Amino acid sequence: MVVPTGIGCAIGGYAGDALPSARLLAAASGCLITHPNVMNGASLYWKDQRIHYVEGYGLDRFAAGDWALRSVRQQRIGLLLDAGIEPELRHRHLQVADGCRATLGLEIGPVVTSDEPLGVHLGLGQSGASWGTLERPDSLLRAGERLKANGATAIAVVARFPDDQGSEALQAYRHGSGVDALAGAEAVISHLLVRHLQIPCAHAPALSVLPLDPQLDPRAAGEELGYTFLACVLVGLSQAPALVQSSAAKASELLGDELGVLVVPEGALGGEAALACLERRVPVISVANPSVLEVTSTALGVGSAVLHAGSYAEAAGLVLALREGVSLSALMRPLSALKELE
Amino acid sequence: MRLTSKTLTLPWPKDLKASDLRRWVKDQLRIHGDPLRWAITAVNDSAQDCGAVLQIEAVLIE
Repeated sequence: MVVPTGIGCAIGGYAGDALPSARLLAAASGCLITHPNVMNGASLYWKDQRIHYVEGYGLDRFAAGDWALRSVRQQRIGLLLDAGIEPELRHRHLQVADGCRATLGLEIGPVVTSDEPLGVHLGLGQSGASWGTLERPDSLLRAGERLKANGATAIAVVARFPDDQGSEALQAYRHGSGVDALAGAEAVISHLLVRHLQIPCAHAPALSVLPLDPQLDPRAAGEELGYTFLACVLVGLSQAPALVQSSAAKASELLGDELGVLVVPEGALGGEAALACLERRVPVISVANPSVLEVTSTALGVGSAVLHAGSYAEAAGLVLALREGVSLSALMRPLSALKELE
Repeated sequence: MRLTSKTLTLPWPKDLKASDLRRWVKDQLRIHGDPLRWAITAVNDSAQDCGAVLQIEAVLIE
């Protein structure tokens, strides 16, 4: 299941608000591979042994058949903190990590601070999707290398993001009508670490606490419950599958060849995982889930190769039918009579 | 290492199937840098009626 980060999806464009759909698809499929944007609700999270938490870069490599997924009992999560985080906010994050150790039993540590402030910049593309870059990617990678060398098998990274309190974009997002302006830069940070280190990574932004907004959209509410967005990342990473080269995979590991179906918003077929599935003839279900993108099956000329669902509930039904070997045409009407080949 | 955001507008070759787009787009991006994060973000009709034009947004490593 893919809900691309930062494209303003009505379901999944906010604070982990695609998670109920993910739970449904996990039940229908028995094994769901999805990414932090779907699962992360800041202070809110959900654990399900059927759901595998794989960062977007790793998910793309898995869909393309390059990497396989190896189940692990427990990851040792290194905590990477941006040197640009102020002391009090830094303490808040360390306390969340300690809380997850004490209350949830997660294995967390070591902690490393980048040798320079990472310098996160936010940006919007021509499409309206959020992107963003980093001034000092080398500093991020050095800190990641240090964590891995000191025993971390997964990395939670916290970067200081620019506060844009009072901006129209933030107000629109909190009111349920905008794109998550932070999301694109978050994905860049985690993609960079996963590409470089080939271990599970996920990102939480460090931000000042926002003033109360009585008009807050429920989909954004998960991000306003605490001081940090870190708890969901630590929980997600705690049993995230290890990333291994497909050529080195064992029989017990999940390979891209075993992918049964991809579920993706109907306008987001231009992402790498979706294109890889079209390339590899993996069935694709496109779900009505409005966003700023309109790269649909019609736009790509692959209408007949893609199944359409009007909701994630319908998509779950299609997944279940595929899993059980029920012909989809038998579920639709009219059902035409068989014709003999001429 | 430097990260740059880029938007490419490329005519979709008429003989290129959608199933071959991923590799082709990555090859086009590699002319400018190593693609870190990218997507086709629009498919538009060309002004000269010469088929479709792809809009690709990307963050590249230089």
